[in-house]
Amino acid sequence: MNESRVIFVSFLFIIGFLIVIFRLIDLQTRDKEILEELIKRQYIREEKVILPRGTIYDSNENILAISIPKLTIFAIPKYIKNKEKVSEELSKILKISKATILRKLKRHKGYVVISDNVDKSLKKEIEALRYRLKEWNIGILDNSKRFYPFNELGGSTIGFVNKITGRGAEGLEYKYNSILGGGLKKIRFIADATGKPLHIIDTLDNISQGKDIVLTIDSNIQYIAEEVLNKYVKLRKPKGALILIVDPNTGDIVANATYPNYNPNKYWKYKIRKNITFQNAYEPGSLAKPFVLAKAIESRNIDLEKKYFCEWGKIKIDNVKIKDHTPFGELTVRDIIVYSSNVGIIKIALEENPKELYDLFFKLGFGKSTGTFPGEASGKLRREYQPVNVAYLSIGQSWTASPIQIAMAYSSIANGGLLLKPRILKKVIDKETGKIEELKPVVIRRVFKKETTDILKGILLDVVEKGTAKRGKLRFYTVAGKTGTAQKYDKELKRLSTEKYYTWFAGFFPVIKPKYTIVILFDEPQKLYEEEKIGGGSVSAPILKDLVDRIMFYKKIKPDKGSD
Amino acid sequence: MMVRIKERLFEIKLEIKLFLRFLPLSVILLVMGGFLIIYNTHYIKVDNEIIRTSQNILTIQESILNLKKEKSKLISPKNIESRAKEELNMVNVNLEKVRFLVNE
Repeated sequence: MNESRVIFVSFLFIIGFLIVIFRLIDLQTRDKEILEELIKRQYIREEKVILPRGTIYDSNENILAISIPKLTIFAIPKYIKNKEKVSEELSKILKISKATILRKLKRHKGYVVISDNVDKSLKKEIEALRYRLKEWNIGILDNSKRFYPFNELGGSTIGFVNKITGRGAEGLEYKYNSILGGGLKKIRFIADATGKPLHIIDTLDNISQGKDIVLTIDSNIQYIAEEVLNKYVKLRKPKGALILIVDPNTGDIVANATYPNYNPNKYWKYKIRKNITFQNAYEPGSLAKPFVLAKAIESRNIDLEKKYFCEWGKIKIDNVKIKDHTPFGELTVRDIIVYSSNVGIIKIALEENPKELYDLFFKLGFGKSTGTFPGEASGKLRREYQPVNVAYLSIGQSWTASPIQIAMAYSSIANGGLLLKPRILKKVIDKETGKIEELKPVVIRRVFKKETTDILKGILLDVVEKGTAKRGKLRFYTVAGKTGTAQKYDKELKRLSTEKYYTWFAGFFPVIKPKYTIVILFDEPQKLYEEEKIGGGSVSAPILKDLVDRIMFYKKIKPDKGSD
Repeated sequence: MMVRIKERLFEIKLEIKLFLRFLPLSVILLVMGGFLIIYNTHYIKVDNEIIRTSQNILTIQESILNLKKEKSKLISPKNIESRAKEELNMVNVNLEKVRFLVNE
């Protein structure tokens, strides 16, 4: 009897074990994939993490853009037991309103990011909160955020990183994406029963952290330029304006102040994020005249004291009337530039071979983008050899150039005749290997003989000392340059406007050994009083007085002029 | 009775002999076990130390980045100018009053 009982109980045990074993085999084989998927859904989570990018420095190695480690706080609202309490406690730590957090927790059921910009020092507090409230479905992940410590300083040039994709979206951040790195990385991690990341499946170990870059921008000169520009923007209320400062000996862009500008830390708040120095092209007006004279000097050694009759300010070419801003009688070649006579320069231009004249303008880089900035304008310059087109070419109307092209063309006068490629990237630093790659200045070609530029320097100095730019004349430093005024095309009137202008100044200082080339542009500046004549001389040139001394004092460069 | 005692003694002797035969092996096993325990304890200790140090390095690197950020804010030209004006009562240079000793 006892033996049969033992056999029976043993039999039951064996059957029980067999059932368990068969079920285990079943789970391991037949339902394996379904169950693995269930495990994945329950324990494996996926999160996109913004990767850190390389740092951007100015020429003094001050930080212009840096990636700061941050935390992403997320939640899975359907498992949050007390949403009110969680919102209240998190709002105290994160300094986000309770209502905002609560709204997120109520609107979403699955995964929701509460904040992706949380300081890492708050990690312990948030972890403590999870344990205190036993809300295991509040999660913490490492992240990275781009920060621009100088805010809007150089904003339109530096550009910004998209806060969702982690990639440069505009400006130099965009241009140097491949060097700076960054972007998004999907991180999969296994969470424990409390929802805390237990094991990160994909690590960030093998991802390049990106290289650092050093720009040619000097943040102090940039600040001076922006401050001065803002002062004149308040005064003139233009649609756009800029001050561009370039080193004519290397092609380095030292400062680029633009209006409008934006703060890359809050880029989404700005509708216009164009950098007009590179991305717009304008009619250069009288800025073209010195190049015509240079051609005349080089092709036929024109006598600078030769007189041209300027027709009292009116000339008809191919039945098209072209006027001067002031009626002039006879002017010497030198004075045609100094006082900016359209009629005079047209007469000189028409004596030149039109093909060779166009060749010179193309050689100066007009009509072709410099390739320095994303979305750069190339300007419009077409070969048209009819006298009226040559006339318009010589007075900078009906063709366009970007301010950076103008700066490089004037730099060629300043440096003795070399056209340089603009340089904004000075060094690339590989943090991992310590290797530093220096980018050398690039000479594109010689455009003028040194002797020609020496003559032009003297004439352009007179423009500022006694000519159209005399309102920019300084006490301590010599400045050479040319003013320009171009009438804007009025779409409503379908003709050139007599009220709307582009006003320019392009030049360099000090004259003997130029350190900086400067381009100042105002797009549709307003009059200060009713009778005021808007032009490069009245709007753009006076800015030199606020700008040049400050830059030269900052660079500790001795005056080259007696302080009379 | 004596015979049983003798038999028992004989068995004990045999067991002792057997024990002594395997003693060195037991000792070796015990020593190896002990060594493995010590090694593991030390390994875990070192491993924990590495994790802690790595975390410290990360924390320090993060603080360096944050300090760099704060330093950049402080040395921004705008901040320097506003502090010079507000805290040190400095004023902009009056160009009319500037004199250079050009010829010296």
